[in-house]
Amino acid sequence: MSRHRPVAIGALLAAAAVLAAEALPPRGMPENLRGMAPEAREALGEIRKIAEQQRALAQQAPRAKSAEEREAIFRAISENLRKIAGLRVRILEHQLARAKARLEWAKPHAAQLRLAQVVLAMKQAGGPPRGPVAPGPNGGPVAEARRKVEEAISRLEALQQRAAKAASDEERRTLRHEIEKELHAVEQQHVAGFEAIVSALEERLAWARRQAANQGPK
Amino acid sequence: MAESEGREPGHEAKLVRDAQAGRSAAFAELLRRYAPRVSALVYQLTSDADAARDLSQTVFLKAYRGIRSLRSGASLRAWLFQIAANEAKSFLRRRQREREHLPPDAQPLAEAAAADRGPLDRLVADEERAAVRAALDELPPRQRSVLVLRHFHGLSTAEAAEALKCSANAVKANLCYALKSLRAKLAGGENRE
Amino acid sequence: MNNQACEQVQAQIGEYLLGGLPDAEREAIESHVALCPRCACELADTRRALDALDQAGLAAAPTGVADAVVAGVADRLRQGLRPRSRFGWPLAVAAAAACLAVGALGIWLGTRPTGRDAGGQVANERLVFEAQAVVAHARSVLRQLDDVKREYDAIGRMVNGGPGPMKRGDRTEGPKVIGNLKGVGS
Repeated sequence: MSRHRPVAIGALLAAAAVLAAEALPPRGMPENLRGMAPEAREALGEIRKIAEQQRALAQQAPRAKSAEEREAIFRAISENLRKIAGLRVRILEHQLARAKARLEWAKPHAAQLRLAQVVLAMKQAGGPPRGPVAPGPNGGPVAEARRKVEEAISRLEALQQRAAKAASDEERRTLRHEIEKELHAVEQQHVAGFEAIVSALEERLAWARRQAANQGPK
Repeated sequence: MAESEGREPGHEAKLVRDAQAGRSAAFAELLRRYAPRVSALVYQLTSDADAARDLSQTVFLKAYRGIRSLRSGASLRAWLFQIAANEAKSFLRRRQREREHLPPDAQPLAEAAAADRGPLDRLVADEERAAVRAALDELPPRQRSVLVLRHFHGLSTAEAAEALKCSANAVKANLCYALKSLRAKLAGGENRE
Repeated sequence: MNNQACEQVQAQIGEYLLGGLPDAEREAIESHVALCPRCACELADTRRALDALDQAGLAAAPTGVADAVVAGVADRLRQGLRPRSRFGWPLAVAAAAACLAVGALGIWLGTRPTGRDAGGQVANERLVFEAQAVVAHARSVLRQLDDVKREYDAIGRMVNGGPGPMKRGDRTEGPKVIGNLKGVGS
């Protein structure tokens, strides 16, 4: 019973020793789609600089020695707010473009992915991933896609149990078909997640444009 | 969107009912689904990986024994988190009492020993992470629980109030204090004014 | 800026950042913050604190803990909940815990496979491997989704827009109606 366990642990520890730190190599999203768009990153740097200026101006305001000086400081603050609103729009426009490009990459990639490729990738990685699935960042546009992927993982684990005791070729065929279905489901959610981010960015961009319009001349 | 969200809580409710009826496969499924979240919560409340493992097991064993007491429609998550938060609280009290019996110079060693000993050790060499964990450790238990439940687990104010058996206003106030403390402790190290 | 308004806004910063406010209140806070440097600072500092919290490796228990929990509970249930001394697997066995969790659950549920025809066993093992490979792939998809979401959040925070004006998908509610522009910002 539990006396068999030390032997099992030994074998598994040996296997564990060859596992890579991450189970799979990165799933091949092209380098130029990773990370933030360079224009967005630049605009972000500008916002940071302006924010520093704002902090300094905010400290100067109470020390202003005349009404004109105070007025000038407030005008400078307003001008900065206008600039920030504009930069925000620019950042979101570039990130939205990148998010759309990622979606365009993901769609055909998802459609072409086959079980054999996934199996090969795992062989190259040296085995199944270890450890539990981390809960991941909460909520957000990808929450539903993420949840469905987790559900697929649950179903796959149940399929593993059935596969271990499959007793006929027909049963095995059925199981393979189910496994392929889950792969398809996962890739659907892969794409859905990217789509959700595009929608969310579009909403956010619309909001930022509204804010920028409100910052306009009063 | 609505259909899948309708199915998910429905599916879990069925698992709970089956588990209440004594079907171990249903309980096993709930165990598998909630083990990561419950162990994450205990870890976030205690900073102790061994405690996370041991206390989480206690949580699920208590859940197994008491699952029939869960009323239909009640939130399984809130119930499990409630048990987990209580276990963590008792553990922290025990640990505090044990530490008080140590000679004063041994206490920092005990704390270091109790902190995570897992593979994250190497990563925790990073100072900022250590500072954040220390700041979290210094929060009073109720503030820490509220912050952890609302931020890491995404519970709403109402859900957190249910899990911690306190009022919504208490949750809001505790969140406010927790964030203020956290900010103050983290800003102390990087004061560039 | 009016101190009372600032106090109110600062009291709500936590709720704002964690998505607990309805659209109208969110927009009110955003409008105030756009014009109030002090509150803008508080907001930025609190965001940084939450970011630091996210970077501190606390989102989940360390590797192997959840699987050890599953295995341990299944083990205890199989033995009929008899009281036991402190469960003692060292965490170094983390990598093995995943397989053992499945095994322990299998034993408890009485579904452990009995040895049968060798050829069939090989075919079964291959199927298990295939299922595991899809799981591995699913996990990498999860990581990708998490990375994309983190980037989305980081941008949101950095552009001073908070988690976003809309919170679709965060809670189990129906689709939200887009909030009306009420001449904010003046």
